[in-house]
Amino acid sequence: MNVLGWTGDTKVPPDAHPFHHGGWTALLAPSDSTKTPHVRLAMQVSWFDAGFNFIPVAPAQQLTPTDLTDAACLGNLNTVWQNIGGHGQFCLAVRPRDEDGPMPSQGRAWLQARKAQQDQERQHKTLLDKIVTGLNLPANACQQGAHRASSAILVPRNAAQKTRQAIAEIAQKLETPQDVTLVVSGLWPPLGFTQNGLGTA
Amino acid sequence: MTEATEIPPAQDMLNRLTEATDRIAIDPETAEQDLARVVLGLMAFLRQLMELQAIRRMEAGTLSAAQEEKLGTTLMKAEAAIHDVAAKFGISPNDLALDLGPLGKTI
Amino acid sequence: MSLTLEMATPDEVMGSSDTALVDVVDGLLRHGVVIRGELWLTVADVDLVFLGLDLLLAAPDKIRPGVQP
Repeated sequence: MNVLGWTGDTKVPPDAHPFHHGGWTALLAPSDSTKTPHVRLAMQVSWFDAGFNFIPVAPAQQLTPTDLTDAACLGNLNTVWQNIGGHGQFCLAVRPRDEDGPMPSQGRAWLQARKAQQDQERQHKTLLDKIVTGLNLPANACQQGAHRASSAILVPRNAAQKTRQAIAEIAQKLETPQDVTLVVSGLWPPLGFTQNGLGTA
Repeated sequence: MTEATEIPPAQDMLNRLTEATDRIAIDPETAEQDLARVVLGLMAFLRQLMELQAIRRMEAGTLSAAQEEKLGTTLMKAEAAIHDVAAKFGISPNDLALDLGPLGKTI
Repeated sequence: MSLTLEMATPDEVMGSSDTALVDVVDGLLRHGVVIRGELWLTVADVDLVFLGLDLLLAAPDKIRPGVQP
């Protein structure tokens, strides 16, 4: 049995096994059906889409009820629950439109090309920071790496459409240093907003 | 939620390194590959750290052209070597990168 | 220089093999509540070795201030 999340609500998804612990209901899925992180994420998304609110566990982690009993973090769930109940998140990523050409094969030029990539990622991060700031919603720290900058914003479920429009408006006005693509996806379960002093956050 | 600092503390980076993997199950069927993933993942992580440090030194202007050439060549070859060995175990560079997550470039 | 906007629903993202969207999923898998921040090596569901990665990562000039950077 894998723990996929916690809820403070009394209604739980029909295909979840509720497990009561520390005043919370952990939502369990049979482990044989959720062996891979992708399947765990898909199940979380299906619960979220069906309107259930829960604090999602990182799909990369295979968490069992045994792990819960030594989890000293349950006290923090209250704060997280207050913040993310009724919310989902959009993932935003800025990336170059064109793929990079081949890397130079000379040492110094190679190192400089790596530096140029890093500089580009930094520019993407600045751009994304502007977009996120313009939205004026709770946001995750923007991360740069692997040729892109990414961030997540916390959005009330009923404001999803409004937020999509706001992003489109901001994106239209922005000056960009190069041709970039802004990838917006969601609404996802609020996976990026569970770290309020929880676990290793 | 606040703005990320440019250089997260080492503990934070390591937490992110391990969040992705958490448990590496070593299966009798795939023992070689599983062990290789642990070792190569750590090697790729350390190589990445060296690369970022090299770039920082280059930016600071404390390296000679010859040093930059040598560092670049070494780091480039190290990356190729790690990817080659990974390929022999049927591990793609992305599988190594997954362990590192976003931290590689944010160090 | 321009910005192109792409919008996708979770279903579209998870069913896609587009690199940009696969990236999104990879990012999400790592988020959420994390109970442990450690690495365990397990065999047959038995935790055998714990990798406490409490390495000290710092530039040499920060550890030994006298060192030539």
